[in-house]
Amino acid sequence: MRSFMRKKGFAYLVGVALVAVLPHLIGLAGSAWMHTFVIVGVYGILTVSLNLIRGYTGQICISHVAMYGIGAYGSALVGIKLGVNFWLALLIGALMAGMVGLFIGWVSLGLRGVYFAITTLAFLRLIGAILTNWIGLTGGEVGLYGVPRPSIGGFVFEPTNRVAWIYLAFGFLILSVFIVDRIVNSRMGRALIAIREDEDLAKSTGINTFNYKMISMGISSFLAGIGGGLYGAYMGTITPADCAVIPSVMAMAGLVMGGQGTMLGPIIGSVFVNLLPELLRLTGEYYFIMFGVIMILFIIFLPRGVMGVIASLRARLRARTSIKEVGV
Amino acid sequence: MEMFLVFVGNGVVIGSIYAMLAMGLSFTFSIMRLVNFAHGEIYVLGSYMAWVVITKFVANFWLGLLLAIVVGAVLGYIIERFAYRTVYQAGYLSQFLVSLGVVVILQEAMRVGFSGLTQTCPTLFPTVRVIGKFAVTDQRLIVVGMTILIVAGIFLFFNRTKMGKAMRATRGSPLAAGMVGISVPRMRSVAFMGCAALATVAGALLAPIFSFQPFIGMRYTVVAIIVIVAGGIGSIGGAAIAGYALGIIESLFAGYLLGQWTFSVGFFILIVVLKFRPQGLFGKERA
Amino acid sequence: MRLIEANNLTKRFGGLVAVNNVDFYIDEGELFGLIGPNGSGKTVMFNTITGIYKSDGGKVAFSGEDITDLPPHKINAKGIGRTFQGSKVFLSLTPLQNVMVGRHCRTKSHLGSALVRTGFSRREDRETEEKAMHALELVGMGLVEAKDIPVMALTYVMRSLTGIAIALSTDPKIIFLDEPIAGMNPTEITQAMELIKRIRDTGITVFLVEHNMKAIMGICERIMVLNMGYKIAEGTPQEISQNEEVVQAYLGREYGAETKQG
Repeated sequence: MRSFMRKKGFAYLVGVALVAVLPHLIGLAGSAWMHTFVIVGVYGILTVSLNLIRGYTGQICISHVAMYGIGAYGSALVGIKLGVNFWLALLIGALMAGMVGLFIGWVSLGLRGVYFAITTLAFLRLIGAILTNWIGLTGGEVGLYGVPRPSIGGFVFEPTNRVAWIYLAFGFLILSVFIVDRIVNSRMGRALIAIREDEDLAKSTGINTFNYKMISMGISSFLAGIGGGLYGAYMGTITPADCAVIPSVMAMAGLVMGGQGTMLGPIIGSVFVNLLPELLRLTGEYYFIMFGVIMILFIIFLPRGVMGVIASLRARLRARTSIKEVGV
Repeated sequence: MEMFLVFVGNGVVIGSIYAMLAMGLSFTFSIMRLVNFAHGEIYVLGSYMAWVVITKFVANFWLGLLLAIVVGAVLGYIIERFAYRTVYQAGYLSQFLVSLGVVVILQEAMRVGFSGLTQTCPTLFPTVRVIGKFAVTDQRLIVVGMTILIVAGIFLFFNRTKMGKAMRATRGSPLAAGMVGISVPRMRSVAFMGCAALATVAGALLAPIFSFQPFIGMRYTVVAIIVIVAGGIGSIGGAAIAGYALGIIESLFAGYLLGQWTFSVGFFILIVVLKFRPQGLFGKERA
Repeated sequence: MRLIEANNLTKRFGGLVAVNNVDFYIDEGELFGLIGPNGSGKTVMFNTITGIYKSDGGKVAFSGEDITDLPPHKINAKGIGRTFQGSKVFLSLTPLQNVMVGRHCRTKSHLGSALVRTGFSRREDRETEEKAMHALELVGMGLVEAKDIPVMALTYVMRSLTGIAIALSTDPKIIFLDEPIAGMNPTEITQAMELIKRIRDTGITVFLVEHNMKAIMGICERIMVLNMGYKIAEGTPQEISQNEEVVQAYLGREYGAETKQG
């Protein structure tokens, strides 16, 4: 822990400080943005977890957003119907998401690349269909309402209390980043990255790729479930709309735009996906198309995302400095 | 017993469509390793083509089919040439996103062109025939008949024609195929045109039987996916057989049990198959 | 007990029999070579033994234990390391990181210790880096100097060497080298030959597939020759170079095909 704190402690400290002042910064732009930023925080948990299975383990998991949905439904149902305390409900919802993710992984992770992707697409639709059709349990297309609020001691996190929710959302976001960070920089992380780079070679180098993919899938799904549970509690109602193909694409595109396989990339991605459409809205009716165009431009020209651009700039600066030193 | 046969009969009709959708998608998967999510939308477009001809021009089903084939082939060429060709080398994620772009464009085009309301197409073959113990409309017989013809045609194509063999070669190794003089880009074009035409024909055949609207495509794409993966990766024949099997099992399930949850049947089959035979029932490659 | 013993090993792809009923053995400490014209089944044989392909017949034993059709990661854990034709490596990573992956099957830290860094896992990570450096140093040839440059920025030869280092760091008892000197210039080839001998001298048995005749004849003690999936000869380099069938296999394939009908 000590060496970690030395290397990265400062970064995390800066992060926490930023979050502490965040509500005030946003307040300067206008309190209307506070809501958007709560979503950025919660959605960020989704992209951070997607980054684990996609950016670090290299799998295209189209069903991932469904884990968000399952976390939302799971914790909401347990909270509404069984009257369980919010935090326990959150945990249970996330565990449910984790288990569903593991099940999907168990079925599909034997398949390669494209075939894994399309099978997860099928599962995404399946989950969406179940959530829509099991009206007794989930309220169908209309969804659930009256999702319980989190509370600590006597204090209740009312959705209207944006400041509290920003702290809550970003607090969990930082926790998720921390978890993924630890995993990625460990022996397990090395195995995942090896799988991403070249699965056959990883297998021949003693790595049980199926098991590791499963673990990655399980953790990603669990984390996404946490995000979903928070989202449900904040919004107060949930519908199956998130378990569809377009939301799944948005999440992945966001991850790509921010920068897959980096720590900050998914957070930037969440900002893009949630903030950009709002900003573009100011330009008129066709904002969604513009957003699509921007997305496509990124994917073609900047496939390593914003973090990739930063990395190239850094490399260029370093090269320039060393050339100066050598006196060329 | 009668009911059983009725259900099986329905299943054969539905299965024909599943088989055609799956075979088309399997074409492009194995030859181009490409994720074509717009498959369902092209199918829906086929339904619209038949509907347009029958209701707006001449009440001739065969003309409707013809238009469907032509539109399918042309659309397939356009999509391959202008959308997918740009991303062959770019990795699955980019292909996925482009594919989705095509989906959205097609959906919007159909919505704007035909209205977003659910559409039905009148059947021109309403005559009910009694075969043995059960009654069937001519339309359904045509569906099954045409599918059998098409499946046979596809097998002949791949095994007897020069182009069919060239395509199999391309599927095995595009590099090697290129080296023996096969124009790989042309193979891809033809494969995609064929895939799209199969989808539109399926749509046209079913237009008088099932209602359709612009946003219903994904459902069919997912079915095609399930059939391909369960039926066997790389095996077009397997896709056909699995398509029929799924159609029949689904029909039996819907008939005897809960109609609402029929969509889950395919998934059960998929899960079971993947666990006991990971390469699919008739699969050749290990996925 | 032989280190590797294969009996009736067969692998088919549809109608094509790529490896046809091959028997062979390798003793501990040997430098054993495998040669054959293009398409004779050398890489397929490697892949079938190391679990990439499922066999269609026959058995393979490693130190007496049946390892036929085990998955690749278990084969590696048992003590068989390998490289791949075409310098297969983890491209975005540096040579050092590449080789650290190789230590995976000899280490234990898991998810728990990733989240809560225990003393054990920290020590293990340090050890992993040290042993990875050892592997890099054993290979040499500029690999240590390049250890922190992403492999995708390095030359083909450097990537091949990284591949060898990865295999070495898995602590193998035997290493399968699939055409390791492809793409090397004469100086590099000489150095690579020294490297292979060095590897054997550390106690690791070597199973070498190569095209370069001079190289393989130069260092191998025993050689097996494949042609069209069949084993057509086995013996010392001298015996092999004088074997008529082998000569014909390389020079005149029609002759080879005629005698091999059936």
